[in-house]
Amino acid sequence: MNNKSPGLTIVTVAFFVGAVAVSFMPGCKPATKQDATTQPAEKVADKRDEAKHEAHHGGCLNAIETCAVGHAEVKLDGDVMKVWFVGGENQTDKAVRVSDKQIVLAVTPAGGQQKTLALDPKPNELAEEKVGDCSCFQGKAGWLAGVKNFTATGKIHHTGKERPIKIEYPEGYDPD
Amino acid sequence: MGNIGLPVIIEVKDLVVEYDIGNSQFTAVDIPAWSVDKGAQVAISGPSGCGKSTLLHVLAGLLTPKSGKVNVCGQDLRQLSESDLDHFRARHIGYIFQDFNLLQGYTAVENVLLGMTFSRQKPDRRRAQELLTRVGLSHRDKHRPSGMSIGERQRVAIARALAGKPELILADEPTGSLDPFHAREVVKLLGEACREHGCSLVVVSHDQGVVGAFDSSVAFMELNRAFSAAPSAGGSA
Amino acid sequence: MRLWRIVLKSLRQHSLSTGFAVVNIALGVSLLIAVISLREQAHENLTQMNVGVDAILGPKGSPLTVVLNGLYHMDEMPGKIKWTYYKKVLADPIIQEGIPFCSGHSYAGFRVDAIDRRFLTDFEYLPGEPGKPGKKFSFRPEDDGQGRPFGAGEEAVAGWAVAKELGIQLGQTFNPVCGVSAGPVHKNNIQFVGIMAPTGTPHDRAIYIPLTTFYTLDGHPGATTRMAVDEQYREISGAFLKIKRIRGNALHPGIQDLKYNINQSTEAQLVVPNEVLPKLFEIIGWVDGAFLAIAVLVTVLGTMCLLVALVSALRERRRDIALMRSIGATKQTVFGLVLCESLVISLFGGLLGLVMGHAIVWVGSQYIKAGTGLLFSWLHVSLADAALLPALVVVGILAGLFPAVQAYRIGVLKNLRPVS
Repeated sequence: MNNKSPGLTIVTVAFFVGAVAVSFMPGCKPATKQDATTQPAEKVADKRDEAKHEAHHGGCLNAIETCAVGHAEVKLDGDVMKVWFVGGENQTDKAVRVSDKQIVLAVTPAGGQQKTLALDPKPNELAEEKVGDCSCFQGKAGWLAGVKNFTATGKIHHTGKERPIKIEYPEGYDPD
Repeated sequence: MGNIGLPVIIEVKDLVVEYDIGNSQFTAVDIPAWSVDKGAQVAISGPSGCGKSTLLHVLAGLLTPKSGKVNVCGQDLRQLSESDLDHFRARHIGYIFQDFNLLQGYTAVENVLLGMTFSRQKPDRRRAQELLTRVGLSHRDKHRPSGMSIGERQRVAIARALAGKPELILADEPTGSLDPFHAREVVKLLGEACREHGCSLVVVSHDQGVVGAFDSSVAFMELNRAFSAAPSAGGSA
Repeated sequence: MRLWRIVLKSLRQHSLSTGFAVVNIALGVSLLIAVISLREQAHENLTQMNVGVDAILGPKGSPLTVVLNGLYHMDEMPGKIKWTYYKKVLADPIIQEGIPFCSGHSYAGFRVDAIDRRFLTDFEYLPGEPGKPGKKFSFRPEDDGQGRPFGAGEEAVAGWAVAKELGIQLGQTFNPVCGVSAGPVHKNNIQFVGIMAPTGTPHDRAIYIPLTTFYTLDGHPGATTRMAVDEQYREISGAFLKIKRIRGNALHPGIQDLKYNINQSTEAQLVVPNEVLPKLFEIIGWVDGAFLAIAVLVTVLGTMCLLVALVSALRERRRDIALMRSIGATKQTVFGLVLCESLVISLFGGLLGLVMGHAIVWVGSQYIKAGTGLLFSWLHVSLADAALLPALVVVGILAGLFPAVQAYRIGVLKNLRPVS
């Protein structure tokens, strides 16, 4: 093939690129058509797979001192506050047990007065947790109903040390 | 040629055609004035290399002259773009080559149909057959050029040239490859066919026998100043 | 003579190079069609078809292995779970139903799974829509089944694909092998009492025996035999779980909390097949990508071949094209003729490739069905099929553009010089 003009080069390159592009066109990764019934699972799983600091229970994550130490995932459901203690960094799907038999939080709702809320342990029986070796706590109070924003502080015995906890709901607390 | 009162199909004025040869320019054609009446059949004689074919190429719009006026079939060819020249040639001109230039992969009737296709006419197989019959080749319509004699091929070329219903047929040495007997036959056929279809005809030939068969002829050496100015100069024609 | 006739005539005149180009394009297209179709169907089979199981309670280990063994009868379970733990999970309010099973035996290359009888009688392998029942296993002759579900004792049922391949007849007996390939043979002479109607799922590719029969197979140690009667000691390979639905047939949202809770334990894990199987494609994605890249490369090479064929043919046709120009064809006409030739070759090659591609899928589906029980259809219309026509047009234009431009530029007089 005589190649006396740059036009040939341009056309050949353009054709090659175009053919490759066209050939890839039908090969786009098919969207995973998840069953609607597993929508929440997919969503959370994807979030976990992307790793970084995802709240498995749908609450907000609050670092315990620092992100590396651990997190407290907090969720408000009506007049009930649930707190799960989970791992640090991206290990937020791993439960971390604390030895407290009760946790007392000083809760300040946005624009409101500070109040005290006691969280009682809710052991995960399927993981053979018990009181004093438990990762999930729950507290209930009538004044919690309707609260959308709050801050809270408290202390827990976490990984062998007494550590302060600070909660900023619903944004989460990340000092790093 | 150029009778007062008769419409003119070819009119040439101060026509100059030059070729580039190396760093210099060679003037192949320099015609001050020339015209052909509509319906006329004209032979242009001259030795090989004197520029006859070059003139035909210009008249067919295949070659652009350096300067001058070229009016063919009422069109000023120098005002036409390359695309317009293609259309002009398709609608108005039938060209017959010395070596016929038939498409080898096509049968006789298909070659004639091609002439219709490119002249923007609806391909009409029946008319193509009629043209072949007129040139005496009805029995060879499904044969390819490689299976025909030289004379038969030239007749197919004539039929193809007529297929587009042109106003003007230009024949460049149409008998150049034929023996004298077949040459006379082809010339006669060409003349009759053009008369029947109402075409004007310009034939270029170095064969005096061919030239003599036409009522009107012109010696190209008399027409072309460039040749008479430099008779020893070569050039393609 | 119509222009399309001129195009076809030209292609016939250069039939060898035309045919070669058509075949090259067909090869590339067939590979693309086959790879993409198989890929889509594999993805669909393994991710959309949860074969009626919402979640699997299995031992700790690779979640993918749990799914592959539990649902697709591949690989081996990474351990066992306690029956008591299974019962504890079963008590969770969001669990609708549990079907425990034990794997780890085989016969003539097929897995023998011990399973609760309710799997054969109550389990919906294809869940229905709200208000409509799902599909359960059938043994009715009109469904192409035979016999009945097993009762207690040494009875078995065979999946449709197993029965067909091994020529199993009702009343025939067999002895399962301990292990998935070779191992000690349990001389129990278990009798086939049923052959399941085909379901088009991996369930077709297994043999099923009663759960308690697993423990009492000849040759099992006393500790295993004891499991048949003593739930405190019993262990299972896993359990299929059906989760309760809420409005719109959505899975109860509590499944995530349940999964979290179970996965914190050292006893077991809860695996949701629809979450795990897409990861399989991420793992093998590079293989999949490699096949696709090869198919693309072959297509590109085919297109290059078309370009070369057209350019070569054009060299031989310069005189013909110049001749056409001299008798009235415009530059645009000859440009269009060459481009049309390219398009025609591309379309012919593409259509041939389409047929070949689906034939490859047919052949591949036979092997896949034989190896996994998964059904692949050669009639599946993939994205590649849908995009084929426009892609062929683009390829034809791209390949034909350069020779068409060359034809456009052919000088008439220069190429009409006498040949002798």
